[in-house]
Amino acid sequence: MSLLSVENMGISLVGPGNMLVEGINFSLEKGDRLGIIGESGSGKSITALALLGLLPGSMKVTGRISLAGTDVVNSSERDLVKIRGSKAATVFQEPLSALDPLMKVGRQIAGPLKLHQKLVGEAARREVYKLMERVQLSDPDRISASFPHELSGGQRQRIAIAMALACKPEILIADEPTTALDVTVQGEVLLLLDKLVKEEGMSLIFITHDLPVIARVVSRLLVMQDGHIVEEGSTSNIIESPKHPYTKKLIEAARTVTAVPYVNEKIGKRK
Amino acid sequence: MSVTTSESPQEKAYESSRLELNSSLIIGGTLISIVLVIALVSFFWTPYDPNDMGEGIRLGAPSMQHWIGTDKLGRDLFTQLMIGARLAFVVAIGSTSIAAFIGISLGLLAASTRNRYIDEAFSYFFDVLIAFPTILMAMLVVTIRDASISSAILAIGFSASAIVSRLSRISATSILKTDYVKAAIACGTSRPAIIFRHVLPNIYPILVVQLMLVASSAILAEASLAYLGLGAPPPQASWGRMLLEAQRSVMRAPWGAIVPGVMIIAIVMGLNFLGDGIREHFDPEMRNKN
Amino acid sequence: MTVNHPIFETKDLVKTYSRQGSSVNALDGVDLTLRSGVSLGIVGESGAGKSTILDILLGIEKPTRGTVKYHGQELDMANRKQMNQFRREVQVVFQDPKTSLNPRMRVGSIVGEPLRSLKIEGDSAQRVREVLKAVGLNPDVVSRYPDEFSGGQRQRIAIARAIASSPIVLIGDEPVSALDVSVRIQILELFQSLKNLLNLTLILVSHDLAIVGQLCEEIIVLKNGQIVEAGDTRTIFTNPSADYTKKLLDSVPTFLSTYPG
Repeated sequence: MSLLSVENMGISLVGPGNMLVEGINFSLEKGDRLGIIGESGSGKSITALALLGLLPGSMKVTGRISLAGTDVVNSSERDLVKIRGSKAATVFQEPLSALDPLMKVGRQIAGPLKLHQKLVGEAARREVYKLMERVQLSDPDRISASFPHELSGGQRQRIAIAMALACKPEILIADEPTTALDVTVQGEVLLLLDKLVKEEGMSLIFITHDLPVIARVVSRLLVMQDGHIVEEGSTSNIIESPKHPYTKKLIEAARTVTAVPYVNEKIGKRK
Repeated sequence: MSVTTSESPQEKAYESSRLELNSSLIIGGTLISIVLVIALVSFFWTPYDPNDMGEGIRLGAPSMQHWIGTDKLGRDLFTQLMIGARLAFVVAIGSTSIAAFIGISLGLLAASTRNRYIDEAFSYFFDVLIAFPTILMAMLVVTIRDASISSAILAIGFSASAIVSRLSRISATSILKTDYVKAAIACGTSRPAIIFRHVLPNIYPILVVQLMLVASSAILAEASLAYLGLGAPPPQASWGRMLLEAQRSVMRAPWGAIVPGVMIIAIVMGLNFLGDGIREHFDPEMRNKN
Repeated sequence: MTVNHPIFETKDLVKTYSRQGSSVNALDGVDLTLRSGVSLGIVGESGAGKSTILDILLGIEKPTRGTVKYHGQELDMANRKQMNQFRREVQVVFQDPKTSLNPRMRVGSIVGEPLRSLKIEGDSAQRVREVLKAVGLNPDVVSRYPDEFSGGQRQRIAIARAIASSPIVLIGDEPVSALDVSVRIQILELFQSLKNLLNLTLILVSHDLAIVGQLCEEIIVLKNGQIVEAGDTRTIFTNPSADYTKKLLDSVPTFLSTYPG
């Protein structure tokens, strides 16, 4: 049985049925690295939220989502809480809103440890420090005693990653994890994610609008547009020989906007 | 540090709720309309003259002739109720207008000044005023002037202006920080024009909700003043005074106290619901636009 | 041959912000020159001082120390006549099209605001339609509200507003960063064509080297309020001298590295 299997999933608004997302089918095995790429309005983010039952009450999900044996669509909130953090964990775009501004980050990392592994006190503290080391945060004493706003964007995102890894989940879902970071930090955090996913043997679902970023991290791609998957395949196939016109448009656009003049101009679109 | 715009379909769907009325609006609207109709009708017709002591049935129970009964002087209670409704609206509108006028202008002034000291001075002033209980303020004004409707309106209006000004100042400050205000400055738009063209249109929903609450507390304040004997003197009919006068006989003739009490509750709740409804109505829009 | 006279000239620009006792230098001695026809890119990450320099160049903030000269004259925010002329000639496009347009104003009023505020003569309604056409929008959109449009379209509206007064300098603050990738190209091309058509000199403030490189002939690299490196685009990109510049260039994602397998 697949680690994650999504069958004919649809998301709509409760009430006058506005279908936001339709006909989503994909599966994830252990160790898989799947990317979902799309622009705004493609439905990629709500698809990710649906996997863990994190959609607001104003939306309803149809179809089947089977995550590590749990039927997400039909599970109660209590059952979902059990798998969030322990079977699958998330890292979102804006670490500032994912972290509690009034709690020191050390305690926040310990949160999932306490919830899922019943770890407290000294044992928890040691585990927190180990996690901080793994996400390459030096000076763990000072950082674990800090509040989120006292840290830099890159540090905050590393804390978010540490929290996600705390209970060794089988799946990591990352939604635009580097988009809000400074360019020079983006690369480091991406490398970190790559390394950790490999070390833990986790599966990864990476969602973004940024094609060059996703190309480095995933082996398989789903291209979404207007709530549908328009193309899927291996990363190299899609980038080298895209078939759907929308995919072609995305790739062409990405090449042009990352072309640094005099350095790596790919297409001759100059002044 | 790029941010993706997210005009996902769900946000577009939120916009369509702009046209739908929510339950709070309906409940509030209905309650207020009922009381408003009663008040308006009172200008044209009441069952009896308010001072008509008629057949002299004191503290009469509700009957076909007197729908809510009579008070201790034999006057028809329903008539008093209708005229009292008039007073409630006059007080509500009067106080709210004063609170709005003083509050919004001072609040906007405080927000738009570049001088931090003036801003801080205003803030302290508002905070002190907010802390001062409305009833005490009203008692002060009434003692200085006289017990009348206008004194009550002035006092309540002045007291309520403090909260309105603080809210105006805070909302205006956040609007003044937006990019579109910056763009307006870059376009050469003058400060007053920025306030009228950009700030006011974007803060009025919040202010309207607050003013609804001001109106409801104004009615409560007037009723309390009247109950304390500091309100408009007779022959002006007032729900508060109806309560005061019914107090002594509340055991024998409860309707004299219950009915004005219910009316006060109705209009206060009506205004609160209306305020909630307006806030709910605009909230998804605001979330959408920001 | 046209003589390139400096439009902007700043010397030793310092801007200090004090917060709860401690003071921070958002800008710490910035010298820059903008010459007519030579578009300038200001590159840096967060905290570099980009927004501060932008506010100063727009005449919205006064520097703590140092001078800003526009066409050779020191910029005086109290001088109404000078500011009126200045604002006609220097306009801005902000990063986020969702927040740079007043949600409660119609497109026509938004785009026509500079004409009204700067008391520019002529038929404003006609001018508004003209600039809307120039940015690729149907002039009939004047009666609609911003939230009826997509991000890219809203940015076009913002650009229309910026060119309404016939400026000579157009300052862009991360003008495409908040847009979808496929839309970015269109807006970039719009900037390029307007630059040529209207003889605009651009100042582009951004963290994105690729964007800046495509539109600007000269570049300044900003870090912690100081200029780390400055020069023409070709040299900076092909032969960067500062380590920070090299670091920035290295972090531009390319297609060269895809995930193995």
